[in-house]
Amino acid sequence: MRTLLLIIGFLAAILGLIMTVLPFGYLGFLPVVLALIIGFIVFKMDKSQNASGKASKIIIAIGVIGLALGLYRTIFDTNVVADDQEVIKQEEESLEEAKKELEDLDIDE
Amino acid sequence: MRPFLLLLLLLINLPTIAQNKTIGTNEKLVFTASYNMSGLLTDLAQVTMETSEIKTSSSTLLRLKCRAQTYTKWDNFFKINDLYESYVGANSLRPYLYKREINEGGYYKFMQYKYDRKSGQVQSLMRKRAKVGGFYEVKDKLRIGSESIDLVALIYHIRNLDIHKAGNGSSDTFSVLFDSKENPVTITLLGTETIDTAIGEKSCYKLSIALNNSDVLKGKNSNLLWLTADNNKIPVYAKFKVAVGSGELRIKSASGLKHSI
Repeated sequence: MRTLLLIIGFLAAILGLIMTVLPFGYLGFLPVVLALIIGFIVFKMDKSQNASGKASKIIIAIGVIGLALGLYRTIFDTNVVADDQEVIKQEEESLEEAKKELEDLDIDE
Repeated sequence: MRPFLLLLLLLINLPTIAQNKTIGTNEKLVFTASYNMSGLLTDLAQVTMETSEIKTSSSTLLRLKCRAQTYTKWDNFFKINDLYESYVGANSLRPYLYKREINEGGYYKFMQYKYDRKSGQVQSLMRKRAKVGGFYEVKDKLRIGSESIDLVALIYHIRNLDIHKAGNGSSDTFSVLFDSKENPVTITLLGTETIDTAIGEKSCYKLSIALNNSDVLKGKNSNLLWLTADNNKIPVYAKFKVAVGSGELRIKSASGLKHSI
């Protein structure tokens, strides 16, 4: 049981860390929270059996890093689009080309 | 007898000479596009719909411009930069030129339809990136119906419909040119709903969009559009389901509208 929980906990912690590095938003919190819950359960199990609890502490540590990263991204990552000159230039060029194409057409308006 | 015939002809032709009562010439609508990932919506891109007046030597047209851009936080992983344009008659909203330039994570495609309304033909031009480097072009001539429109013009045509006169369950079908093929798109009025939006609480027309003879849009009544039930008929909310998943569009801001809100 403890080994199974440790495997799931490690996988969730790593997945959570990857998802919070990537801009997944709230979705990244799901594996992080799962990893923290499992980490605490295994930590309690180890404590009751007087074991070292090293593995569970690593899971909790990765989970905390993921949580901090996720919270940082949620607070400071804003929804902005690149305001680059390339986009403006592309639109202007497209309009100029369109004007030439439209002059060739017989528009009945 | 002759006045009666004239009246009859006028009534028959009334839908085809519908006037633009809804779309302003300097309108800007900004949306947030979200993608459904395991039941949680993640903000992915910004969609902007803008209109502007274009004058040619013989006529005045409206440029309907739609741009989809991923938020910068996604740009390093998957960058989307799509530009859709339709040049339509300022009053009829009938398209004369359609351009679609898509840049999606390294994939590039340019599509252009040049409408010759008199001959009922469209000159199509497709440009793609060649595997050996550079680009290649494919030119074609397509025969279309007199009422055929493009995807961008369709959105504005829907907004220009007299929805207030339609009953729940009533529908209208448009012929839409997409990927060099005419596809019938059916719009059905499902009812009215009041929803909360970034531009306030709005009473809306709830419409379903079905693309017949195509599997681009999935599910029955899974592609929905909410238009404000006022003179502007602003698209404030949309839900869509495509082959790669589902998502939604939510309005962020609206300016330059034809009628005050």
